[in-house]
Amino acid sequence: MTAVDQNETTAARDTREDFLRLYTRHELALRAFVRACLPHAADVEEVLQEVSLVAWKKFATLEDSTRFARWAFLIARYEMLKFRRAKARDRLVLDEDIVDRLAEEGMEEAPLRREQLEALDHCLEKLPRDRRNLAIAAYAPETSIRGLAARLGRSEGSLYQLLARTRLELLRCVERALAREGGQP
Amino acid sequence: MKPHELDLLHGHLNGTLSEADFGGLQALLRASAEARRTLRALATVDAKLQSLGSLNTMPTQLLVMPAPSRARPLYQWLAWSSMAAAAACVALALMGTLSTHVKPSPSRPDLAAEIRSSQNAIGRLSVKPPSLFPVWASPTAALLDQPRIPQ
Repeated sequence: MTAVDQNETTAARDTREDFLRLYTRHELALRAFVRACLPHAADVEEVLQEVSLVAWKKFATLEDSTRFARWAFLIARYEMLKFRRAKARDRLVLDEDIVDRLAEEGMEEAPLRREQLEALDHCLEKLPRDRRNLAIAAYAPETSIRGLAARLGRSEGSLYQLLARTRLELLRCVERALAREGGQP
Repeated sequence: MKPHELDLLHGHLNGTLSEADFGGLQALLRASAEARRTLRALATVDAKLQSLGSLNTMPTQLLVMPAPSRARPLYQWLAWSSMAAAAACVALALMGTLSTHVKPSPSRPDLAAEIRSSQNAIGRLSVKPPSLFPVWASPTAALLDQPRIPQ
């Protein structure tokens, strides 16, 4: 291997590592945006997979890595709209103007999203163990709410209610934590 | 936000909205910045749970098992029985070792003599068998009269 080849290999590896570091850092915020638009986990995964592929292919065109979050959000918004056009006929998908607003405002909230995600780690720890396990199990791949409800001897409706209550409790906990950090009463 | 508006957001995230309710959700999201903000925040919670769920390898059967506090007596019982079994093994090993090493042997005639002397002393004690039995028929007396250690 020549010195030029070696330099190119090193540069490629550095680029890959940079991309992975940036994408991993912002992945949850991107997931949150796509999740807000799509109710089904499989659809969320499909869109996110496209987002990561497109972002990787175009990563070389990103000149300023500090703008990665906004850049990746634009890709996610585009992929979200593409998915919407392809699937809107056979399922309930938010209209384009609403997706646009969610994306636009979501990009502005990127720093807040990071704070929310950090606070969420502590709030999840505070949640009673059985509630936490149940909430996480409900989101595991291959798990259906119907199957989980049957296994637990509960109705689907009661399980959905429990998940909604858990989601809201976690959100309230996050809001309280951020209010305390911000010095609000 | 009003409770029914929150229900619409949760219904959307759960994927359980009817077509009519979905129309209501879209109207709400168009009209209310607070609803959009809340949806993004709830979706953030959801995204976190989803990412944890994708790492989750715990079989869902475990969720229907009793909580640890209720299961503790079983674990305690297992722990105690294991410790008791271990203690019994140690005791048996010690007994085996002692029976090998403490037996009077010709190499220790003083110890054998001492034990014989103690047995004789016990034999001389005025422990009488119950009066219902003649002396020769009393198992206790027979035991006391017999030397414990083979001569």
